[in-house]
Amino acid sequence: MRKIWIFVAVAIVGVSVYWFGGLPRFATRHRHASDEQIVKNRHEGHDIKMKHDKHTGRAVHPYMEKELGLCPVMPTEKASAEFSHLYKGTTYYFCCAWCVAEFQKSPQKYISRIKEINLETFQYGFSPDPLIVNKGDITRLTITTRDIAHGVLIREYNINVPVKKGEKKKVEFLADKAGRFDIICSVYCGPGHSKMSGTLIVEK
Amino acid sequence: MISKLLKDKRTVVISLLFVLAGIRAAQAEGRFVLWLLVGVSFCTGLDFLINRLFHKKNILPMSAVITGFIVSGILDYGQSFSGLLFFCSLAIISKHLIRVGGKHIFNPANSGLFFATLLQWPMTWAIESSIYLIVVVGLYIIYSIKKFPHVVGFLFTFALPFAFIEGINPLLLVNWFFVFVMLVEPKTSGYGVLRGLFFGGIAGISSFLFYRFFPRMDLFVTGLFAVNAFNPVFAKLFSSGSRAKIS
Repeated sequence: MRKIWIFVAVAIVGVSVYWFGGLPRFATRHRHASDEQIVKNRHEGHDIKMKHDKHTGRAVHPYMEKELGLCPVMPTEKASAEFSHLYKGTTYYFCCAWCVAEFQKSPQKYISRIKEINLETFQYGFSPDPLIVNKGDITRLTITTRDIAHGVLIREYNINVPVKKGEKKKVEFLADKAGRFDIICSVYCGPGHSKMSGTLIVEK
Repeated sequence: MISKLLKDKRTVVISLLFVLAGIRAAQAEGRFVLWLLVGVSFCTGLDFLINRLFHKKNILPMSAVITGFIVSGILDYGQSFSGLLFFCSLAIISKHLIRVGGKHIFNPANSGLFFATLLQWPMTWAIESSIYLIVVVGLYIIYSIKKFPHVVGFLFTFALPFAFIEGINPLLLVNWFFVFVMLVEPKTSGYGVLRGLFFGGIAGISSFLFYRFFPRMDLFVTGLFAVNAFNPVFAKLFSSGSRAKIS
C-alpha cells in the first residue's frame, strides 16, 4: 500500500512540475509564451491590471482571456485589448501603440497577410486539403467537425486542438516555416484514424 | 514447433504486434521504426534491470516487449524521444510499484499511455495498421484465454450510449486494437463470465463518458485506466471466478 502512495505522489509531483513548466516541454503549452509576453509588457512600463489564472495562480494579461490572436503588424507578438483599431467594421488588436500607428498608414498591407480558413474535419480527412498559405501569413483556422470528435495536430507549428461536434475552435499561428507539413488527427476517431491526414503547404 | 509457439499467447501477441508494425513501417517514415525500436528496447531493458536488481530474476520480459510495442505504437512518433522514454518508464515502473495482493492492477502499457493522455500527448494509434488482422488474431486470442465476456461487456456498454445518446454508429468508432489486445490483458482483466462482463462494461461506459466530457483525453486509455482501478474490488467480489491456464 505504501508503494502505491509513493507512486501516486511521484506521479502527482511529476505532473505538477510539468504543468508549471519545470520539465522539458513534451507538448504545446501556449502559457509559456504568454508568460514571456507578460514580462515584456512590464519592461515596457505598461500599467496593466493583471488577473490570475485559476489553475496556476499566476498573473494573466487580459489578452489571454479574450484570445485576441497575433498582432497583424508584428505577428511574433500577441495582441492586447489595450491597443485596437476599428477598420471597415472590423476591430483589429495590436501588441503596442506603435503597431496601431503603423497599421493606420497602410491597413491593406497588413490585412492581406491574414488568412482565414474554415477547416472541417471528418472521418477520415480534412477539408480543404491541402491548406495553402504564404510564408509570413497570419493563419487563422476555424476548426469544426462534420461527424464525430477529431483533433488537428500540426507538429511543426505545435498545434494540437481537439474539436467536438457542434464546437468551433479557433487557432492562429504565424506561418514562418516554408514547406509541406502533415496535418494529423490526434483524437481517436475510428479504424481509419491512424491514416487520417492532410497537408499544410506554406509557400515561399 | 508452431503449436509450441502458439501455446504461449504472449508470443502470438508479439507476432501480431510485429506484423502490424511492419505493415505501418512500410507506409510511414523511417522515424517510426526508430521510435518503435527505442520504445521496445527501453521497456525490455528497464524491466529486465528491475527484475534482476530487485527480484533477483534473470528472465527475458516478454510482457515488457508487448508494453514497449503498445506504448510506442500508439503515441505519435513525431514527438520527442525523451517523452517516449518518460512514458515507457512510467509504464514499467507502475507494474512493479502499484501492486495489490502481489499483483499489479493497472495494465502497464495503458498506465504509461494514461499519463501521456493526461499531459495531452497526441496519440495516432499507428500500430493499428490492419483491422482485419487484428480482428482475426484477436478472436483467436480471446477465445484461447477465455476473454469473450470482457469484449461482449465492453462492446455492449460502449455501443448503446453512442448509438442512442450521441447518435453515432459505434462500429465506426470502436478501436479493435484496444478491444483485442489491451482490454483483455490477462493479468489485469481477471477471469470469469460475470467479472468479465462487469470489467468490460465499466470500461465501455467509462470510455463513453470520457469521450463526452473530456474529449482531449483518449477515451479508450482513460476508460481502461478507470476500470483497472476497480481491480481490487473485483478481486474481492469475484474471487471464486474460474481461471484459465496461461502458459
